[in-house]
Amino acid sequence: MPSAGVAPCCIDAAVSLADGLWIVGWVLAADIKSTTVTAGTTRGDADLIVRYWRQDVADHFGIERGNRPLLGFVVRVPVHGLPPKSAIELQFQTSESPATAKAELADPAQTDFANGLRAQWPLIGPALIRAHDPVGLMPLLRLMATPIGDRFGKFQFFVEPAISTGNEGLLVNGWAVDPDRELRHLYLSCSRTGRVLGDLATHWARTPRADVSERHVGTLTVGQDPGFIAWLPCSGTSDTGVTDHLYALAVLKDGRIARQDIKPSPALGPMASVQHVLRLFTESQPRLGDILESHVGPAIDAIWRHRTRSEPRLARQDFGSAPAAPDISVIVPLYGRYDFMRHQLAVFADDPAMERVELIYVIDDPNITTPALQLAEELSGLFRLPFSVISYNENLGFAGANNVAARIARGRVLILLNSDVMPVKPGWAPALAEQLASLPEAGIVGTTLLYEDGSLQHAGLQLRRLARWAGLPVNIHPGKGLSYVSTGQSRQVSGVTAACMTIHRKLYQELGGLDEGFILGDFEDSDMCFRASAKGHKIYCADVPMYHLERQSQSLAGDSWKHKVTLYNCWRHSKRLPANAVTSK
Amino acid sequence: MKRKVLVVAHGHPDFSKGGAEIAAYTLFQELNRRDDCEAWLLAANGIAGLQHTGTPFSARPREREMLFAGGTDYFLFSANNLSHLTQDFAELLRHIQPDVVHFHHYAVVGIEMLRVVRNTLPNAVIVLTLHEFLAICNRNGQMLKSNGSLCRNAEADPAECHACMPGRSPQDYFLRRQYIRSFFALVDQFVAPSQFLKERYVTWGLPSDRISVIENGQPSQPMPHASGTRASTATAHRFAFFGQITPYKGLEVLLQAFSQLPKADQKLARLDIFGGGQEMFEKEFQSRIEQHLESAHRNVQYRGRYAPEDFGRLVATVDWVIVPSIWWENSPLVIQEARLHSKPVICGDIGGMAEKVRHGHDGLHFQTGSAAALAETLQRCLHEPDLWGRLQSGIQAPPSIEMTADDLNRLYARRHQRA
Repeated sequence: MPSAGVAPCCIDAAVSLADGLWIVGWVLAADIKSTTVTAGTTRGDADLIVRYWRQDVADHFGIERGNRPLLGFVVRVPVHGLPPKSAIELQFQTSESPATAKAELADPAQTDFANGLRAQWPLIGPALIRAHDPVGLMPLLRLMATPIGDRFGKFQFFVEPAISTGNEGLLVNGWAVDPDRELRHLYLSCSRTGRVLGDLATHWARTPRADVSERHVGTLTVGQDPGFIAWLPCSGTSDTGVTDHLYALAVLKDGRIARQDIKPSPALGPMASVQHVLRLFTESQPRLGDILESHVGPAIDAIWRHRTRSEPRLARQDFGSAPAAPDISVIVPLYGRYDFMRHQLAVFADDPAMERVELIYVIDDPNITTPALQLAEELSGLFRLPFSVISYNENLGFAGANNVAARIARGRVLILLNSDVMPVKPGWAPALAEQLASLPEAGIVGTTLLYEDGSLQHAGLQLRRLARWAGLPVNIHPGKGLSYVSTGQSRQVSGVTAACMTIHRKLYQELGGLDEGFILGDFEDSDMCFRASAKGHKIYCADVPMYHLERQSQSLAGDSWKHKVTLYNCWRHSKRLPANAVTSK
Repeated sequence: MKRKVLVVAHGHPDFSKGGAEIAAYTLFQELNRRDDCEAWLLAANGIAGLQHTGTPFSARPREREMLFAGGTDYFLFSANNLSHLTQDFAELLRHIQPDVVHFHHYAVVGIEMLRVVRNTLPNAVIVLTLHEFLAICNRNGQMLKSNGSLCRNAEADPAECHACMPGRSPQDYFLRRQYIRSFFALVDQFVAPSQFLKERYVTWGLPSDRISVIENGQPSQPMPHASGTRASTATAHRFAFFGQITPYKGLEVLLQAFSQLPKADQKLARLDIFGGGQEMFEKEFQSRIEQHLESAHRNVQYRGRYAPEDFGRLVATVDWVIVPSIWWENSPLVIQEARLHSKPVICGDIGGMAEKVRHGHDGLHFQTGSAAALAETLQRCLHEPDLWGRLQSGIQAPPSIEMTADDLNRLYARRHQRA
């Protein structure tokens, strides 16, 4: 009850939250100059005050709206650590008479308090979020939130478990149906730390969600995509428990607040995280460019950069005695089909030039290590061509496998060779090395690759923008599938495939090898060619034909995650290209 | 110094009586009969119970006759156990020190054996007798397409092979050809029993001068006197089919041709079918053969299996031998045996069979696979006066194993000089 001689004032509720004391009440004063709270020996001045109209108080005092103060107040005082039931005293200095009121702190865990406040929330909420950034009000908003459900009418949303992208952010997806455009913010926050990680509604890219659209037929207008994907860049997202204590808070324009506790994310390794992210969109969906550029691309980039990498434990087995001082080292990664080793050795064995070549197989697939080594042993006894096998207990990808072998290779010249590449004629390895040595300023020499039917598979790469892939430049193989006509001539090109790539070992090392940031293996060859070109080296495609038994395991259509790895790599490649790399042709 | 020849075969006739097994064994025996030769036999056997532990070798109770625990896949003919080749077989080679290693097959033993010989004995002469189109065609080496048509893809073009048998990719067929070729490149001299077979392999990629056409001769038996009279004194002509009853051997064509003969001619023609093995093939094929036999006239008789040594006795009871195969054939043993017993042969007009039977001289050709054409030919046999006698008198004795061994010995010597 108001005291006599001072302005009538009353505290309806007071509670200590993470950001201080929140006090709600009313005072018959038009303008408040300052607000102070005393609790025992602790004092503090309010850092936030919001006034709102209290019809009940006005009725009581016979005050008409329009010419009187707003009456209601919400203040926050940065006083921390007061336990429930602490006695507090509030003092207002106004331009008229001062006002004071006393109260006992409520227990925020008790629903009485929240319910009491919530009854007034329709009046307080809009005033608060109009006047202040809701991010600064999170403890109170969280307290005032109600679980998302039917009471929110047409507005509904759901946030799926978030993926921590390295230590640099969170990738979140879900859906939100908001036909009346009620949503103002959709915050993602951590209940353990109180951190607000971001506002999904200002970050997200909307995506189709057929299942959600079906459930909300009649509510959604055609063309409204209810899904969303959002990458929230923020630090510390790998900290223990962050993704286990996330909740989403939807702040509606009318001040209502809907909360959803987000299920903890499953613990995923980097590759599984990448796969998860890639499953969140389809190649054919609208806004693909934005999704890649602002969400999926940086998210995967962060996951991949932050993957914990120990130095692989290399095991090396030498079969036969390798040539003493090889000029050429041929590096062949094996993944999955290790039987290609049999077929290569069968043709290498009768090529006299191979006796002077260091041949290194790299088993980049722990699943095949045992049988591949056993086969290597058997084939060594049969073909008698010296070779080495490097194995390790992980899958490093195409770039990693080549880089590992390049570090131990002794040749002045490296030839990176796919296991399904078969020479047409003996002497191919010195022929390629000779091209590298003799062509003007040659840094990298690729070669003509043929399909098993003799048609052309590769005679150099060329970048072309693919409209379907948001205009990203992809590598095409000009002339692919056409009848091959031997010219015997090397041509300067912008890039060559690493299915058969000849390069000075020194240059390979200067360039830091193939970039292992490309996932699984794609585009790192083209990337390396552009990096070599940037240093003034020239790239050639020689006409030393080889068969490349590439199976059409993936086409440019399709929605497998591997297919989308290619799309990601393509995006990553595009970010690293020099400005003039893509011709308008 | 005796020439040491190691004959390698994919089976031993004690356990498997295929034409190639018999040819290899016959050669081994014939070489050993000669003063200037010492022949060894290494025959694969697929009978697990015969094998000893710790060695791929076992023996037959005769001198220099050994068995080898073979086993390969059926695509590359790559040995299941390479160390049996690179260690045990190599050891055997060092032990025997043959001048010549004559392969009669690479299936079952493992195609890599060719390289093990080259690795172990760089100066040994490697000879390989080609028995059918197995290196060219993965469809049992028949060059008969899955749609029933005759295959002329002797280049083993991977696209055509894939179209015929889509279970494997064109890349697989490419690798298969490349792999087999890599081993065939180590062979000094190939032997083809027919010119036709040689031509197919030349198209496939073997140099023409590396293939000698030498028939697999048979152990000689006195050639029955060409009397000019038929076995049956009755007016009816007796025709016979000898051999494995497989879909490729064309027994169905023969049975259809007989059913198409006019009623009057049925009385003049009799057909005896000798052979078995149909149970190895799909039920549908077996029941078709059964239906044909059930609906056939009484002049068609299924006489069941026969042992090779009974052939002479059985063929003596007939006038004509019919080889109705619907695939090319290479050099069918039955034609040689019919010649040995002075029986004119009626066969298809393609491949190795057409090469071994001279149309109008010692036998007759008909359009391969056509029952109507065969029926017409049969009617000609029944009604053309003196046709049988004329053809019979044109029959020449088939090459004997002695002749074959002579030819091979010359080939070994020639190659040895060059080595």
